[in-house]
Amino acid sequence: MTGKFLLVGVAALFAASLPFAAWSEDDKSVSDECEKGVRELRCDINLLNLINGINLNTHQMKHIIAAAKTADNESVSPFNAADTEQLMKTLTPIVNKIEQGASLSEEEMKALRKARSAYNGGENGAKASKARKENLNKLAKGVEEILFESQKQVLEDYKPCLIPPKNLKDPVRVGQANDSSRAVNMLKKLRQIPDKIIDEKRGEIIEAAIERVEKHGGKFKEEERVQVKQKLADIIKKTRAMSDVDFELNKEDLAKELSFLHKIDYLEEKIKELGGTRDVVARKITSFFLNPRMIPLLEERIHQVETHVVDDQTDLDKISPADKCKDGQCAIDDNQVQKAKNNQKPSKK
Amino acid sequence: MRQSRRDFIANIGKLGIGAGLTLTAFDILSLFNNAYAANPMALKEVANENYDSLPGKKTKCYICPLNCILEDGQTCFCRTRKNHAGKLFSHAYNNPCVLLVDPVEKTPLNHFLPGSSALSIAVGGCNLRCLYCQNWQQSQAKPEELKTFELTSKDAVEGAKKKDCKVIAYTYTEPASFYEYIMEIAALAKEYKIKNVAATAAYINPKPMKDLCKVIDGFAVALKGFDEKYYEKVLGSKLKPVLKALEVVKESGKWLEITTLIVPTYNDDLTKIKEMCVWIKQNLGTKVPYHFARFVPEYKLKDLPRTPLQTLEKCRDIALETGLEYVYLSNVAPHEGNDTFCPKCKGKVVKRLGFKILENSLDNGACKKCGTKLPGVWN
Repeated sequence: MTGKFLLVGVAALFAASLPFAAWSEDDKSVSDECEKGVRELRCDINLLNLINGINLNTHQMKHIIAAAKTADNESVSPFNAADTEQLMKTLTPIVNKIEQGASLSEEEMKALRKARSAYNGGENGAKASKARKENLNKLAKGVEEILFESQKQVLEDYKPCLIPPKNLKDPVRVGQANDSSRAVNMLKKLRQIPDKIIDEKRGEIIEAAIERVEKHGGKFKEEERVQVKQKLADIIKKTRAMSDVDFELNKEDLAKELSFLHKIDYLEEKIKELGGTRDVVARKITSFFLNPRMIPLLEERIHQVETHVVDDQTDLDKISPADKCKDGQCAIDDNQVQKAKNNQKPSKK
Repeated sequence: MRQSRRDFIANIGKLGIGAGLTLTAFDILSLFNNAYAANPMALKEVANENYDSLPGKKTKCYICPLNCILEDGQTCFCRTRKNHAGKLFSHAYNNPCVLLVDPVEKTPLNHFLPGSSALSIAVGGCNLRCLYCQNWQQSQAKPEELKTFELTSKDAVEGAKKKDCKVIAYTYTEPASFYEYIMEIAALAKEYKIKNVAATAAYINPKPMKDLCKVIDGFAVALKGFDEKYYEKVLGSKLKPVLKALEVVKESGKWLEITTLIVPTYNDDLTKIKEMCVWIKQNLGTKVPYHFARFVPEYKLKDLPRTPLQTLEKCRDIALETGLEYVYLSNVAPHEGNDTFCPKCKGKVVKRLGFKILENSLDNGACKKCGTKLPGVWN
């Protein structure tokens, strides 16, 4: 049974990796190109979101480019053209036999094992692979050493996404009042629901919240579900019972109490607290910064930095200026303001 | 002190208004009541030294350089003070619209009890009209037009104690416009050894600023540009009184940090930045921490781009080259511009990610490596 899976797996590997261009029809070739193009674009967007969010300086970017180029030069194809031809000759009849559902002979199994080894580079390939891994780790370590602590923190939390995460795209600003998280806004809305409706619909609200969580984070066990329901009911009660002032002072803490609903994020936080994610930074450096696609992106960014000039100043005489006191008249006349508002209202027909 | 209805009528009687009034006593009462009824606690008479009653029931306010002259029933430019029958009352009292617990670094203050929580209070209104205001929903409205909370000075101090806040911050809107409220809370907070800080544009007259310095321990002053035309056209204000107010804070010995929001093509001329840095160095000293903050499109300047990071970095370089010792970048993270460096050994003594402190190697404000004492309020 294991052998059968091995056959299918290896055959699938080769079907994907060997140059079947000669076999492809034009449509398949175009489709492959498109798919490759989309994958590359997605990769670039992920990398750009990281570059935009991590604020590398020129020295850091140059170091990373050098490291990524070294990593790229060391990447070795698992086999050469001659090996490829031999492997195709060996495997083609075997693939046909598997398609027929026939069993393979011992010799054919041997040939497959040999092909697998050849795909991994043979005996020398295993050594080369180990050496490459060590070199990559060394390069990643070198990059990690030139990153600041704050950048490592950002990298640790970074998840590749087409849409840049809010904390990187639009971080909380000095002196900015309006920045309620989604959880806080939800709690505010909970407070505004009339008592009658909450009494009637409390169960439904809790059930809907749990279903939503389960949709993204997996089903709760039965006993977990009971606890979660009770916890939510308690939070709703506590939130609604607070005075306005108490709610304002405690809303962030209340929102944190809801964090258990975001299962994956919550677990990640817990793991972080236990200090178990430091090598995440090294892995992410390898995945992102040593990715060869990072090279042209950083080169372009360095060019932008080195050629940046401050734009010409706006002619302030041509803008719609801020309101100010006119001829020493600073007072706001409420009656006039109301009159102006009334005049602006559309007339009823 | 808030007047009772009896005192209010008695004072009107003393002025001899009596039968000569076109308004009856009933009308006066109902005028008072209208504001009073909306929120009975939300009126406080402006202190005598900060306004004059003028003939014809007019008043003249002296809190800020606008010195608004009001007819009866009119409101100051700041939207918070109103003339009630010849007496000037603040409507920004016991009625904040924002109440939050924030890191003190968000003020922004990097050398003031780092890592502490601040109870942040804001009341609606402002005596500026900045085109890019990020809190415009609160600052460009009257207090009574907003959803507010009833919060006396006692409640504020209790709240700070409950949430382990070592600091109360008057921020988000303009402290000059809720000055009376701040004076009361801050005085009470001092009794409980809670520090007070204010984030202000400092468009305020010297006398009230001096009085504010008696109760406020730290100021985060927004020096928004270095050009009178910029102040007039973009902020609806004037630069000179702000510079004077900065000097007043400096003289008082209270802690001061300065922030300039860099708005692309409006105030990012590097020559002007240099002039500003030189003024700060000559008049306030090299040890005043200076923050360059990134602009984000908002309010009436939504069509501008964010400030390029390279522009901010150039501003910071200019400030450091001028000789200012502590220059930060705000609204940009992660960045070395968030960190504090020892001016002597150049070691990184405080590492930050935005407002969050990652590592603090200061020992009561002194660099652990070389012992240099950094300026600030450390305990």
